Amino acid sequence: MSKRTTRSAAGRLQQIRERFFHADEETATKPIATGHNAYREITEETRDRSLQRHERKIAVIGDLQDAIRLKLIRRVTVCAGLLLLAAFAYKNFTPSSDQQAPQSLATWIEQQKMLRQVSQIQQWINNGEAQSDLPPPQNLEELQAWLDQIKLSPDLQNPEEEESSGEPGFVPFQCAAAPIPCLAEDIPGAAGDGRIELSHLVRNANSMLVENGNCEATVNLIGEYDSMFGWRETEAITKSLLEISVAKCFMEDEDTNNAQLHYTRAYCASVSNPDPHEAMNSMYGLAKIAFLVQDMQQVNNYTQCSEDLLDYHLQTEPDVNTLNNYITLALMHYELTGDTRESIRVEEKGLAAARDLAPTAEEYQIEDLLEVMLILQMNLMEGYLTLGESEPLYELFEDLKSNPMLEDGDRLVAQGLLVMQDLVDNKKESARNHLNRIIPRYQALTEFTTVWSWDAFDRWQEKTKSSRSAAVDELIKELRIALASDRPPDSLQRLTKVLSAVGGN
Amino acid sequence: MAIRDQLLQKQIQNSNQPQSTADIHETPAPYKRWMPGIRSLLRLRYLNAKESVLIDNKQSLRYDVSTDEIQQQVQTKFTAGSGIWPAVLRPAVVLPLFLLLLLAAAFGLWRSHLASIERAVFKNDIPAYSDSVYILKASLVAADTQINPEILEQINQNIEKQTAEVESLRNNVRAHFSESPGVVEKLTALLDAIKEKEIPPEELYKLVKLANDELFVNRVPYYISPMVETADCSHLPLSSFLTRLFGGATQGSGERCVIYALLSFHVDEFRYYNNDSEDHLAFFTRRLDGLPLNENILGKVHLGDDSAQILLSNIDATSASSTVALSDGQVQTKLMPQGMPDVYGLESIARRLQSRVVDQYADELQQSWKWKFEQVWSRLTGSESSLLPHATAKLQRRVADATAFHEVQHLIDQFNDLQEPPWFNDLLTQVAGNTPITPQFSNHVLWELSAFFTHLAYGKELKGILLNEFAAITLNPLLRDQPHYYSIRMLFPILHQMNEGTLGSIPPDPALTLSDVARSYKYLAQHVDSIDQISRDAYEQLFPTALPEIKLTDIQQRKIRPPLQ
Repeated sequence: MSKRTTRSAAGRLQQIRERFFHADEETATKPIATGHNAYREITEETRDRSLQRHERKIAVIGDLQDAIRLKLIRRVTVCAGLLLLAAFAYKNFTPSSDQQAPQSLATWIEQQKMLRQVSQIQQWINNGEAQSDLPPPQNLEELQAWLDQIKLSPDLQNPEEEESSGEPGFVPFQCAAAPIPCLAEDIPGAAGDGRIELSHLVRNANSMLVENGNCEATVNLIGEYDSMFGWRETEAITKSLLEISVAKCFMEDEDTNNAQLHYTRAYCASVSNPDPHEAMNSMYGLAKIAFLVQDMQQVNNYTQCSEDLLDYHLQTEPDVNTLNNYITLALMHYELTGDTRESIRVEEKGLAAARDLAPTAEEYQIEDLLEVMLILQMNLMEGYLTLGESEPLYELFEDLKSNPMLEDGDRLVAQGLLVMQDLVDNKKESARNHLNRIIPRYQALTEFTTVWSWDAFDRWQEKTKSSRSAAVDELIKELRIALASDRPPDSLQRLTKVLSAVGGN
Repeated sequence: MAIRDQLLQKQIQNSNQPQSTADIHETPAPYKRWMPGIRSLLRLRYLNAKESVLIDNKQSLRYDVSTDEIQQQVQTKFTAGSGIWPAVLRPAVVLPLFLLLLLAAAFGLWRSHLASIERAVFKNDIPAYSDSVYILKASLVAADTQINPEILEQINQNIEKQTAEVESLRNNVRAHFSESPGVVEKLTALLDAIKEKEIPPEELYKLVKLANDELFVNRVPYYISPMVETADCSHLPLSSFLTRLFGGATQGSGERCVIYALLSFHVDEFRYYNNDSEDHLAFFTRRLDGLPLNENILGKVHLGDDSAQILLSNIDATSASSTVALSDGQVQTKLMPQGMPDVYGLESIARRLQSRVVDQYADELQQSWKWKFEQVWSRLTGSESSLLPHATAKLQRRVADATAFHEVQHLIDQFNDLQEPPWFNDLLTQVAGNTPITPQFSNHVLWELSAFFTHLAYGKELKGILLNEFAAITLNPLLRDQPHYYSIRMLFPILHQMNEGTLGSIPPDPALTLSDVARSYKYLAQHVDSIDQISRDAYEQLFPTALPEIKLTDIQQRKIRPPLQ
């Protein structure tokens, strides 16, 4: 059985071999079964022939591809060339739109306008309705500069038959960042001594009117005083004080337009004074209005102008009264621009100016000067504390101690500031020492609260909250709430307890 | 790739590949069914696929595969499925479309070419013509006074050159419109008129109107407006400027010359406004000539004209500069003239009024789908988006709209012959002071007053911006020769008193001083929201008739009234 099977299998294999050998010649046209049970045997020669045919076929296809690609490139190139040619022709035969416009006629018309304008301004200058700081221009370069600096009088707004009140008001200081224009009628210019009784009378009348909230009545009062007596140069402070009080009155009524007008008038009345106090207050008022209407650019301008005004006074007439105003200027930064660093900068500037002035100050001025220095020193210490700058704070405390005007109360305030800085710097020993010096000096907590820097305390409390125990924190919180009430507990014992806990005792 | 696969699949399905023959898809023949241009691409794609199949077979040692099987394998490469492309990209469909497209493009280019030539006539030739005419006139004056023979020779050469230039430009204009005899006639009359030594402005305005009407009738979207300057003839040469400016006044010849600059505009849009069954035409024009001349106005109606012109370029420039200044926090000085102190603090009020309007526009725009889309787009592309250009564009549109109502009121007043109210002369006498007033000037002041009421009544959306614009005019002493200056000085106190409820049939005294203007301005600044109604009420009380109801019509077709005779 097995023999027969072997023989028959060998015969079938021979048959298949023969058929495949024959079929090999037809492989290009006949499908070949490739199932898993199919079998064929190919001679090496046949296999090589098939492979070569396959390779040739791939090569032919490659050549065809190259030829087609070349053809495509040729066609694309021709199309692109044609398009470019069309675009070039279109551009060439279409009129240009960027042709330079002719200039002669336009120049001549502009010249005529310019001549009319210059002639008009010359006429205004001759009539006193415009002011020029430069001589008439001699060439075109000077012309623009000359035109730019011309100041027109607001009187030009009146009809020609109206009585002109003369030249625009002259003020010795004007700031480019926020010029405050002054009418001649707003500047007391009449000669003569100040009339003290009259001034007192009008100030009292003003107080009564403003107290009643009657802003317009005070406006009339200022006008009537002017028409009856005429504001004299020596009464400029009275006029500016009245204008400031009217402005404040309007501010309370939220009439910022009128408030602005009267602060402007107050400025114009007082800016010629050797003491810039009223002018500074006016500028502060104007900056405040700008702050209220959220015009921060103008707030910055007024603040800058205030500093320029003080610089101007220090250059022309250095005086202790000028230095006082650095405190107002610092307040402007603190309240309006919210820039503590600027606030510190101007106070440092004021303090340096005070030190410069000290050697040459008259004897009667010394006390005032030291007083100003003391305020600036105290404010600066608070500023340094706000920014957490301990080194200048300690240096300034040493400096402060040498100020003869330093009284016990101020010293305690300053030491209170040092306590806070010590706590911030985690110098518990030093904080305890300062506290031990402060606390026994007070009879009651209410007294202490007036000198204690609660701002700094609150900041410190918030900043260090995580590093304290919950119990101490609760204690501080209770104390803070109690002190914020109208009637703080009249006991120092509680404070001592808190601070001891904080200080580590 | 998907399109090509779709096409190839379709082609192979439809072709009858004879058994045991070479692959016909390798030959160009079967691809002829597709439009030229993509045949080679399809064939290339087929060959790529086939090459890939052959290489695959070779790698799996199956290099003895029949053509049919290979084609089946190739076909499996195109799996894009059926689509519309095989139906669309047949030559029968595509070729006509392609030809149509080609024709349309050629026609478009040709039209664009013609439009460019026409644009060049208005942009270049017409302004250049008035410039050459001026140079010619100035050269003739210079020749009359020149005694140096060498310089005289140069001047004479220049005269010849300019004469030729003038003639050439004139011929250019005529040649371009040779197929529209009406346009040629009217434009030639205008061009010839400005060459004359002295033609009165009112005569020239008539010629300009005739030319503009003719352009409108012939659907030529351009507009001409003259700028006039009168001077002593001896002052025409440019060289006399420096002597007159720095050398003091020089004695002129006494002879007057009128010089015209022809400004050209493109008409972006025209609208009809209806009042009392009468339509009034307004052209919304954009400056085309590049002459460095600024008219400083937003709209105008020439005396005797029956159409208004709105100057979009000026509106765009002022709106854009003011919104940019607001966004930068710059101090604007547009309310007070340069060099004039702001004694009453009006500038800060003006800024607040203006920023309110722009802020409101910005708020509204933030709600629009367009802005939201732009936000998404900018996030996707990482580009920056800003509301400012949109707010500026909206402001420009609104200012143009309100200006149109102002100008149309002039047309209505001319058409209806607005009568002077009994109180008017007294007010004008007060506000003008010593300034001499002619009847024409007086009429002009009245017309402006009437138009300002309309301007405010129909410009409610602009709120304080209009108030600022009006204040800026009347605060500028250099504009004392303008009727607007006086009209606004009457307008402000009238509106002020109207809102206070104290206006009778006789208006209050006009604002004579700066403080009067400031008082009314500040008051009105607090009531800008109701300023449209205040204007209507005041007009009705003083004129006494209701403020004309003006409506924008929806007339689509172009129509034109007979030109003025």
